[in-house]
Amino acid sequence: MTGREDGLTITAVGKDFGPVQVLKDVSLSVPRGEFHTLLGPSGSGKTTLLKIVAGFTPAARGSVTLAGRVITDMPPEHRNIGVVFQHYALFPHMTVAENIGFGLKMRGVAKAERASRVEEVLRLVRMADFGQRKPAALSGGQQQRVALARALVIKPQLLLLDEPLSALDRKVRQEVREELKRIQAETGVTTVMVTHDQEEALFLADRVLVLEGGALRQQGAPTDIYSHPADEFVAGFLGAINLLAVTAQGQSLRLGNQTFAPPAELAEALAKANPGAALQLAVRPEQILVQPGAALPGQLGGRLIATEFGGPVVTLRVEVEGQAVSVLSLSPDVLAAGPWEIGMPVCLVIRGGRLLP
Amino acid sequence: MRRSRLRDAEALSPFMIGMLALSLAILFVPLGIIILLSFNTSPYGTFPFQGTLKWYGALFTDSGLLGPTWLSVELSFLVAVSAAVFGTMAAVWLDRRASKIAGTLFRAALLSAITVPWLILGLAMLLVMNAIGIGRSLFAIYLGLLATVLPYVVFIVAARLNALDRDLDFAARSLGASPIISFLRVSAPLILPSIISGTLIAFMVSFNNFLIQYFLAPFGVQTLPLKIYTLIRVGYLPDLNALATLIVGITCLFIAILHRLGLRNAGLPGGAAL
Repeated sequence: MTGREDGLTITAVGKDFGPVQVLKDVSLSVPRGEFHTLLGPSGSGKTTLLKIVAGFTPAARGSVTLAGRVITDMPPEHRNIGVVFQHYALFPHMTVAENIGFGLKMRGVAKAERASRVEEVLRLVRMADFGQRKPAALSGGQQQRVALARALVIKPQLLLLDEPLSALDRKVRQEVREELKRIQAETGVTTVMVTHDQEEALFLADRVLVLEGGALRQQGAPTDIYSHPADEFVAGFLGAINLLAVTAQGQSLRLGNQTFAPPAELAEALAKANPGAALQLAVRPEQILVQPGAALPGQLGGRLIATEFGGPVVTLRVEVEGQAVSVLSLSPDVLAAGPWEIGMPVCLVIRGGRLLP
Repeated sequence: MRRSRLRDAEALSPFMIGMLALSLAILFVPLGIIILLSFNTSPYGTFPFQGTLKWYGALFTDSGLLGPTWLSVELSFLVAVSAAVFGTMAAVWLDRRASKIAGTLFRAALLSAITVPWLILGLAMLLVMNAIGIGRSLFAIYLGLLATVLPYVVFIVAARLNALDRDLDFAARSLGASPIISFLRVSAPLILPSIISGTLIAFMVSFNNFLIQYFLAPFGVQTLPLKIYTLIRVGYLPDLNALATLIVGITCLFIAILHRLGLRNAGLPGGAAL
């Protein structure tokens, strides 16, 4: 990838609403052509950060640089940033073609060229036949495609997406999500998306930045951040996770009265931990294997409390030394290993996870 | 559509239908009588009814009503257009820029212009006009009427602006429009029906406002309401009925326009203008 000076750089940007610090001097950079998502719960400051980058609200502190230009105090109309809004924000009195052509008109592009560029971008979002419709005559998914086309046609140096999928139905959301990924890859536009939906973030992004309480908690590739969350908040926010109270005991871990072999990837972390230190083992439900029967040496023994059938997957709830553990497996695997009875002894093998202090 | 309306009508009780008929009768029977009398030959409203158009002829030749009518129309037109410009500006400020305290105070001030009786408002305005040296004059009437109609435009336009998605403005800005261009190309077309509605209402309120005109008119200047007031005390001819009929006709046209503006824009977010 090309240098950072070509993309977006945010340096120590802060913002206050009255006495509340909604952004606590956040710094990040998005190299050109990459797709980053800002993931966080409501009130995490992610939308405020997006608005500062777009120029809709001023930053109290810090600076924003895009493609080598400092844009911190520049009005939005000079930034050349495409923005897609949660509720589309299409101009209701204009046709689809007029909506998309608006940005070009503002740039003084001649009528003939405008028409051909509008047509081209409509093809890109697979809405070629809809140019003469009014937005009100389109479905939510179609409106969001038009909004995306409108933001892309100006060839922006940065594309900002503010919860672009959250107003859509579940099925349409998946379609548009895939379209979004394809279009971003095809155009190669540097993209930052704000979302509270971890699945969306993991699916779309080259890099996920988790925001909470106005501060960056963790950033990394989706797989990395999912399997190696930096803290309890990130671990919980990215999906279901077991947080087991354990103590370090040499190369093993102790949970209640049982000693078990930790996954190999924890060897290094375990070597650094003080013997006898109380730790939390963060394990995703799908990182645990479960079998009926008593535990062998190195495994954890427990008792089955409940089975929850969820179509392709089954969740088994197991009690181990007074702690509840969720295990997620593919249905055929679970059925083949059965029969399962509530209260029966089961054994667990932990295949991965992360130690949190 | 038609069916459901019928069914709603059937659901009304006889009492409600009676009340509706009574209210409509109180409103429209006098209007009907005036319209009828404007076509009657007898100058004293006596029967038998004999159709004529002579009062309409008289109205446009030697009634002395046309001067005051034109004065009222011109004055109200000026007031309504001014109210449209200033009212829209104030509505934009109120919706987009005003701080919470300033906005609340401004709303309260506008509301007082509607709720304080015009009798008191007129008297107060006369005192102020005299104090600042404007005194009784056409300019004083203009200012007085403007103050009384401004709230209608501001409230109607601000309500529409408030219903507009703020992101529309942000979208236009991000696409390269300056704040003014964004307003002219995006917000203005969307609030235009409400501006027109507000302007028509401002015109009608201004045209009708006897009290403000009475207090602020200089001696010798007669707007239509002042002229009618004088005539009623000394007796009048049916050419006044003819004028009233014309005014009712024009008002009906206004209402049709307002209604059409509402229907035309029913599909826009924020709904109808009126």
